[in-house]
Amino acid sequence: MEAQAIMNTVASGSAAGMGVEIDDVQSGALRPRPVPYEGKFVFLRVDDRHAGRALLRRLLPVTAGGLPGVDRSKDAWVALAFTYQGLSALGVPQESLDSFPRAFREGMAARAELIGDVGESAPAHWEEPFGTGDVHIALSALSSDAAQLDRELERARVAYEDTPGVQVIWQQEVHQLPTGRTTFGFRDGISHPNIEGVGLPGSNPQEAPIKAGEFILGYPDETGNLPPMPSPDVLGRNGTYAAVRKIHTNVAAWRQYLRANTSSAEEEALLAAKMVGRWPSGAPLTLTPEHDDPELAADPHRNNDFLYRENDDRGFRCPAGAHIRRTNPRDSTIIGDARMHRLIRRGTTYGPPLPEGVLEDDGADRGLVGVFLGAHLERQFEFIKAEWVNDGNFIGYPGEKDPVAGHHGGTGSVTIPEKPVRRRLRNLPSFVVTRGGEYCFVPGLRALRWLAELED
Amino acid sequence: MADAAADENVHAAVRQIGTLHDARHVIFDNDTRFMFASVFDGSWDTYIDDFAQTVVGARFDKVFSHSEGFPGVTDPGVKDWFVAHQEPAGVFVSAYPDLTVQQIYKDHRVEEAFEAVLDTAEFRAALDNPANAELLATPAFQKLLEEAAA
Repeated sequence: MEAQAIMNTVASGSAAGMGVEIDDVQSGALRPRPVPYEGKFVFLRVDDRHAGRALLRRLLPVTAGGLPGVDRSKDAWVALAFTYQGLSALGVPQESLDSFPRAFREGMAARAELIGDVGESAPAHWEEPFGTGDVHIALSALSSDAAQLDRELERARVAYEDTPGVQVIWQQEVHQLPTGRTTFGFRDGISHPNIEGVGLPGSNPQEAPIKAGEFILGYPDETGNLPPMPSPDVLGRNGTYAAVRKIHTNVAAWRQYLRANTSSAEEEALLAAKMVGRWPSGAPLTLTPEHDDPELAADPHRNNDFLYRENDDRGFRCPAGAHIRRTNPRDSTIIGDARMHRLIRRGTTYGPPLPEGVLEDDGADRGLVGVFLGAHLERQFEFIKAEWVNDGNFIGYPGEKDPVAGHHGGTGSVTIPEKPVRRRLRNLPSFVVTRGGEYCFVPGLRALRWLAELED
Repeated sequence: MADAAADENVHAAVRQIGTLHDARHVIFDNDTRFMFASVFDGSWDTYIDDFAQTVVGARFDKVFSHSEGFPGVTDPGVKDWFVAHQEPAGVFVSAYPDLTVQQIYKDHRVEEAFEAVLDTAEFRAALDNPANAELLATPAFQKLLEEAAA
């Protein structure tokens, strides 16, 4: 705790650092997901711009900025994000709307082909109101404690329910399963990038700090330039973008596929780990390739302390195509520069778990709401979907998709390096279905005030 | 022309030509000038006559017919016309300068066959068979196994 406090001081006080105005950045932008967690997503539609601004004025005192306090068990925040339609509904001037990057202006539904939301994941099949243009404000609340979440949410609820001209159009509760794992049975939320100058340590001690401008507008990014920022400055500064997605997980299909392609419980566990890149406890295959190691997984100093190139370049421990290695290749041999495509990922689970050992689908809706944050939607989220999740050319397996997150449609394959001969599984079904998604802008606190105080 | 890549006839013709890596037609300078750029194996004029016999030749003729002074792809003077209008590239780089289209086709067929062999139980059994130990130990076969493992 002391170290944490010192880091904060150093980061904000260092002249050489970026001087990130961390207290103006919404907590929902940079903070890692608490463990355990309870949360809720609420989508709002603004039918009247004056009402929308009145709502923002009432939500401002509830919206959190900055880093978690020393007591992480009391971690809780409410965050506000806006779609392009939302900013428009609030009466943001057209000139300002036009200054946002194209992907954000078009919205996630319009980008579906590019990011691989096709077939059963196509916007035509999305859950309403995703992709309809009605989602204006995405309010989210996360807490490590249910009672605290309720208190925070109650303050927000009073604000949006007492504001005529603003409608709640969608709500989704999320919470950590009793197992502490995703619906597929794997611990997640382990990896967090090491961002320069914000005073929040990354989870991989071997990762060189990533420039703040990769995650927050108004600071230089990895290219040495400032990320493109909407105008006026006050709106853009200390903001970021979020791709919010609701993903249904077909857990029965996942278990059936593993069962059908293995001949023992041990093989089944290994195959699943090879597709994910970690064991169920969260222990990475790169550090423990033969068996799970819950003790290693429980140690936050070790469970993400690894690179690939030196000991596992060809993927005999963790396949190059494994989910965690594709989506964060670290120093792997790949096409391009992995540091240009970092993301903050915050997955939260919804729905009941499929009971252990059940192989038949029970019809329940379960999955995750994923929030993917970064200053560059196109270079980060969209690039990762198009090049790393939905193709394998970058690792030498053209056309091969992410075994877990890819949409395979029964024709996918997955290559697992092995001596003497690689294993190549075929006829992979999809284990996930996109239920919907939105691109959102997550303004800084001053920008929120600017939005709330728009005139006419 | 935008649909050329999707056109089955063109695709078949390109295979038939067998030396053409890629080709593009670009109209620029406010629609007043036209560039044809392509990468092919060997020298340009070696195959121009053969080329004219294919579907691609007919398309070529159509496109170039809008250029000033183009004599037609079947005209005996067409090679001279092309040569007179050529401009060498200042810089040309290729990721595979030593591979011809034919070699790429061949490599692709071998890779597909190789992967299919790797998927057979018989091949795996053969690797385990002590009778094959000598073959497996040869540097040539080790190279193959390098490729087989990942």
